[in-house]
Amino acid sequence: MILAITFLTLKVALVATVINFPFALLVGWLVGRKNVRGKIVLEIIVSLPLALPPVAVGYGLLLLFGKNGPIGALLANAFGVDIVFTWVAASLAAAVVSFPLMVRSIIVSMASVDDRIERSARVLGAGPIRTFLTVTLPLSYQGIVAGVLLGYVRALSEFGATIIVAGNIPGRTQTLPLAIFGKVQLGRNSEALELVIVSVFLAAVSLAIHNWLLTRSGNRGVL
Amino acid sequence: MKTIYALEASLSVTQGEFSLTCDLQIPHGITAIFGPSGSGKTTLLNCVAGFRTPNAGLIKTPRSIFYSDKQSINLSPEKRRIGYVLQESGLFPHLSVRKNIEYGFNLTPESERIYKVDYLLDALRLAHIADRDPKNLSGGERQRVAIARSLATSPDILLLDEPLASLDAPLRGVLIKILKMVSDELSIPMLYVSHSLSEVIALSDQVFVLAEGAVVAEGPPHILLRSADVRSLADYGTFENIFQGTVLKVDIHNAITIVSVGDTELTLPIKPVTMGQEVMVSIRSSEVILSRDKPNPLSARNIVKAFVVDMYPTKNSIIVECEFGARMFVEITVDARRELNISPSMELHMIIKASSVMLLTL
Repeated sequence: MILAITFLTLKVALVATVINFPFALLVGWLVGRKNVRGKIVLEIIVSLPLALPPVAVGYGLLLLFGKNGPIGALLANAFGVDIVFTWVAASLAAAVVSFPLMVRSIIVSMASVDDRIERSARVLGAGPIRTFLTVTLPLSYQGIVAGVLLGYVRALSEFGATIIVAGNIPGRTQTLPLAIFGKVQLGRNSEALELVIVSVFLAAVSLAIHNWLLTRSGNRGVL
Repeated sequence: MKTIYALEASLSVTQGEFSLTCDLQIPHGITAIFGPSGSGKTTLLNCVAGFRTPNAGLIKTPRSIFYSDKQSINLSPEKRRIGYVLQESGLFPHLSVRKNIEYGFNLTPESERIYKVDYLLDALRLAHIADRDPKNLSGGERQRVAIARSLATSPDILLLDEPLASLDAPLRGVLIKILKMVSDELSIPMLYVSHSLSEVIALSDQVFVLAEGAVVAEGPPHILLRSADVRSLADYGTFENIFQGTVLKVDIHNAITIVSVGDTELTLPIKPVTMGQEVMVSIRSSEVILSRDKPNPLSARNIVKAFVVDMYPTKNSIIVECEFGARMFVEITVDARRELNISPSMELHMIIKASSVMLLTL
């Protein structure tokens, strides 16, 4: 039981992180490296879920992805799928809520890459994509790793948006936070405590990996 | 016969209040762009490198057209085959010295590679630090890596943006020697931006003077002193005469080193050099005394016969250009010039203390 819940939680958070990563890199690059117009607006939009109550985010997602919502109707017509109240919806909710944490860390690290180093790569014969892959990315590696893990940890503990858009269905959408909530409501305190301990363990391991990766790359820091 | 220029750049750029308009024919050898900060030097280099798009114009080398508004050509920086050594070297901090140099080498088509990485490591005296990270290098080493890295792509022209500005005097001398070597032995044309008069005179074959976004003078480096317009831009307070010379003798007994410069031999305090070594020496224009008669024995070790080529008044002083097989620029006061009655082609003696002759080595 606990194992199944833990596995589902890890899966939901992992999928959320994988969905977010390319978008976070793109936004990080646009906001951190490029002088795009509307940069401030973009930064506010991607950070919005951080400032909003997760429940409000969840409700927004429900409106968009529900049967009568614009995206939900599109998915139903094109593929005959309804993602609301599935683990995919849980991942989606976790993705939206954890996106700001991931992207903000990436923006900061990409903005700190010295322009002259990228220019050097360009005159040495590297095109924009190669420059990004061989210079910008390795130099902002720390911030990217930090952002990904921070986002992952946040996705693990997502509750408010998930319960609205994915419900609290044991075995299908019930992740650790939702299960703890369920146990507490039913007054099963010892079971709730067991789940809390698992949560603490997962969070601690993720944070330990985060710190380890940061110190490991520390000796190859930026000049 | 039509001269083949290493680079032709006629362009205009406007940004806000600032505008740059120029029409440059850059010959082979070392060409300096001299001018005060804000004159548009770096903007010009960025246009040539492709980081800045001019409003109109034509930029080309004998091999390719970089930019032409008429033909709608604007090559991206990586397609221009240039080397660009930036003010603060811009090395890749996450790669070792060798990997930094290999970066551009590996991106150069095999048929176009002229200099092997190991050759460059040797030529720029970097072999012993090939495996180090850039953050563990001195300023001079970093600049040498930056130059080696640029040369590894076998560029058609090398652009340098104040590469010596962040270095102290001895390192500057070493780098000047290296750049001359690159120019003479590898015959890569160089376009060099500087606001230092002594560097331009020591290093370049040709100079363009830029002021407020326009070329105000061009010619061999000595025009910097001949033109009154240019003299008003330059700072003579720290002018150094930089010469290339050969060590003739290291006299441990008397604790002196003797270096041949021009037609003469200069004595300086003993230094860790070896006989026959090529060195750079520097003498500040304000540290040379001029005398009409050959003075009686003096404590100053160098008394060099020279004749006056020309004189240039600056705001508060006179610069006397003296020929002694090389050119020395000596700064004296206006009343000293009057009292000695110095005039062109007159013969006189330059008196230089041994300790005023600086050896520029590592």
